[in-house]
Amino acid sequence: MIILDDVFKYFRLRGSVKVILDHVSMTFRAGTSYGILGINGAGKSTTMRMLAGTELPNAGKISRSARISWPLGFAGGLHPAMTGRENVQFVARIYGHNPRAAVEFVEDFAEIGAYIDEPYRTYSSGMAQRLAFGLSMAIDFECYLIDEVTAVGDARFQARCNEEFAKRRERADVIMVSHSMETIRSYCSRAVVLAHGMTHEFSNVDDAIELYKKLNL
Amino acid sequence: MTPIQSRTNVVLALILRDMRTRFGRSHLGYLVAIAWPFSHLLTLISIMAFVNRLAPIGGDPAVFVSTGVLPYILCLYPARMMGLALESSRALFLFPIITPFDVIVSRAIIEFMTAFIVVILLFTVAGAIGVDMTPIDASTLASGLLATIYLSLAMGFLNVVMVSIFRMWHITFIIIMIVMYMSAGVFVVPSAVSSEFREFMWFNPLFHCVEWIRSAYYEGYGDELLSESYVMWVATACLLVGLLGERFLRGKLLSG
Repeated sequence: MIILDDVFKYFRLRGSVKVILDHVSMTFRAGTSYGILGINGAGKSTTMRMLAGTELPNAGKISRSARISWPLGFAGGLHPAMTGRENVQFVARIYGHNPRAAVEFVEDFAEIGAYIDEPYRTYSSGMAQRLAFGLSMAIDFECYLIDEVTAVGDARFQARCNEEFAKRRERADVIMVSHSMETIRSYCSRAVVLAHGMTHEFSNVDDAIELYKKLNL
Repeated sequence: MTPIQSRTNVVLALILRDMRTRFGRSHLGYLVAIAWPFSHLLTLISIMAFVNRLAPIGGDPAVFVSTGVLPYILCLYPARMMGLALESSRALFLFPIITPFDVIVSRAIIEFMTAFIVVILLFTVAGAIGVDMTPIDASTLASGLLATIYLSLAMGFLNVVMVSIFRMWHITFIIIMIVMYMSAGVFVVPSAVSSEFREFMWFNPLFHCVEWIRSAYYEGYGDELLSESYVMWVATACLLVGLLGERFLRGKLLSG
């Protein structure tokens, strides 16, 4: 569960002020998956980072009572000079997981073979994405934040990702940002439309998509 | 998992990662982190001990110079490396479980270890080449060294916060360090300088560190000017301001 209490967030851009969230209070309940919709620049990614806790609001409070993932979809955070194995061990350690078990899982899942012992910067973009996705599956989260994950790898790997993720969905919730209405429909049972610093929550995803389409006009 | 366990996991993992990635990509890179201040220390000592053939207060000139240069190195390097802590690991904040405080604390622990190793190395090398570095009061020496490292870590904590506020802080810090170095009486005894300059020196915490460590070697040294509590108060004040800065600038420390 993530509770936003009177959250205010703005950016200062060349003298003008851009408000992302204007004193928003809302609750993301456990057991429900949410989609976040909004036009480009509405602040979806910033909101995701605030939900994760990697960015702080200017005022107000965000409290979390679940193990929340980092915003998936970014491959940053892994050290380019460290090998894939060392990176996985590091992330497993900070989350209190067994490093060896995590490496075994990622080796098995990401299928990068001997590259696991090569520096991360030598990876192709496909390998880097597979490692990052495998890594996020190796840690047990109760809520996954997904920021516009584009398709990872070839069709076969995508099928495996979906399969693994479906298994995870039985225990974990998802909060996702996507421009693909198909994805939002298939993953989320509620949706939040972000516009002009306000959030509009819908219990019916289709209603949210309708509002989003109007905003896009 | 309790919050303390979770913080410990993060800090230990950060220490391992920091040691591995400081220079190059192996654990051996950490040796460079030790060799750097240590060679700086040895160079200064050997040049100055060679130039000052006669120590101003008798005994081996190498001992007099070492007791001045060692506190300077112990004060400079940990504070400087801590000031760089957040800049070099900004990408880590992708993981929400890692806070700026964890990164600062893990860097402080590493710098404490490094400083400790540098001290041991100095005494080992001195013993090997036949310089007698045995103090007359070992507990004063130990407390003086610890106080110097404490001052440095506290200054480092403040440094991290200042770097995130002022873009030019790294240069400002180096200038401050040079002023502290020049006015700490590293190569001279306080009685050899004018009384006006001596009064100015008194406000330099590094001066007291030098006096403190020398008082472990020379009978009656530092009786007039040394104030141990001044070092401790300056260090604690730096640490408190640093902690306050961390609390109120947390968002800025996170996003740079």
